[in-house]
Amino acid sequence: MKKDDHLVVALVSLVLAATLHVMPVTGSWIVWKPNFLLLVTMAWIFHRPSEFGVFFAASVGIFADFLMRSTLGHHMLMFAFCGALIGVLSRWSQFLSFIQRIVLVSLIVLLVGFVEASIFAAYDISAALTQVPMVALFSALFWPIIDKLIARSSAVDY
Amino acid sequence: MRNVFNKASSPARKFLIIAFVAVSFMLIDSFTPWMKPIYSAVDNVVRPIYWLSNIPLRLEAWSENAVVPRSELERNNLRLTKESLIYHGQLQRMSDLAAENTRLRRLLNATELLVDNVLVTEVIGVSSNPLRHTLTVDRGSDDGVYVGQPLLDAQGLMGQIIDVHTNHSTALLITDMSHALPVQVLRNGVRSIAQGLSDYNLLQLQFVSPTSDVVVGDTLVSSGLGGLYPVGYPVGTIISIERNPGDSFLNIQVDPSAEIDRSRHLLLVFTSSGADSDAAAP
Repeated sequence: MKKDDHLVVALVSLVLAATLHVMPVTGSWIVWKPNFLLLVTMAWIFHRPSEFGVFFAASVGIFADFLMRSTLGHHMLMFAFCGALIGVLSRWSQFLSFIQRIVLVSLIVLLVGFVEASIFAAYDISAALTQVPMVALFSALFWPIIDKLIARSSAVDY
Repeated sequence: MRNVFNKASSPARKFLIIAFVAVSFMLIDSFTPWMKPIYSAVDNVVRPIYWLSNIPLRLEAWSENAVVPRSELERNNLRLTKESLIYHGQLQRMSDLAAENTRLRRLLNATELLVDNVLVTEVIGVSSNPLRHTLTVDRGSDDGVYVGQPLLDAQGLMGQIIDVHTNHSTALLITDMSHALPVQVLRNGVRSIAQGLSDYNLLQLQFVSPTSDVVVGDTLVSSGLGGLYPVGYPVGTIISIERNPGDSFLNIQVDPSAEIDRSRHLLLVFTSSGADSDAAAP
């Protein structure tokens, strides 16, 4: 019962993240928009690794594919990659300080950005690689807020 | 559901399984149309998220209209009345010119330019991926929208419809990397291809030889070649021309006429060929 309630809260947080993710912004600002869906997914895996893992990340990735009308499997692959990375690092990540966790998150977003650019390259779409660090930087800036909110939600006993 | 999200012994092994499934999905989606019905079905489920994401913009638009002082409304009304009068005057001149143009084209045995029908639409979503320049508009197959339909704003060409659903559609913008648009220089008719660069403020002209008569400031319009875009809609203005001695073609950069990252109200153009083949004009 407790796990299912966490799942409901996670789904609500993901819908909110998706809403922020697709919110129309002026073109020049779009490159600064953090990857909200990925951040919320990572936050849940960080805080509840026993309940949310690689399959959860992959499910959110499929949802992102449908939401953004990207090639099916594209976001699934990237989100699952993040989930697996956090899963592999989960033993160490719980001992990381706040700043170290921010750096880890920005590095993961950066890595995902480059993986995404590589996938685009496979489709003959040249990626603007200079935009990837900006997204990582802003994701790192938003991470403390998202981390705090998810930590509070995941800590509640339903 | 509980079993699905349980932690496994090895995240790496799980990732390998998912990677295999994801790559299979990507190949199927890229090379077959099998996923289309799934996308159409799921699209109606994710649509409320786009509706939610538009609430702040709708509130902003509503507050802009609701909190305007009466004096400003009166000023705007007066200005719009004057503008309407001026445009009506210009329109009378335009109809005279259009009639003259038709007579001259008949003399030259050229085909007549058709007047295109348009449908006003509003942007309800913008691609969150900086590398994919697409947007979602609030008109779909119920309104007669069809794949390949040109999209304009008040200043120029914006893009074309690539995906149509019941009550919304997705458009690929002319600035997307994968988009190319046949254009011609308004001044002398020199033809070229305007290629997107995934930059909202820049296009690049392809295959223009160093001897071509193009100068900075030239206006580009759609040439109509390819049959997708109608002739004569503004595309952009040439802002720089570079001649590199080793290159066969000029490096020409173009500032798009349309306010691609700002316009919210757009026009869907019903060209005769597209409307005949896919849907009827409203």
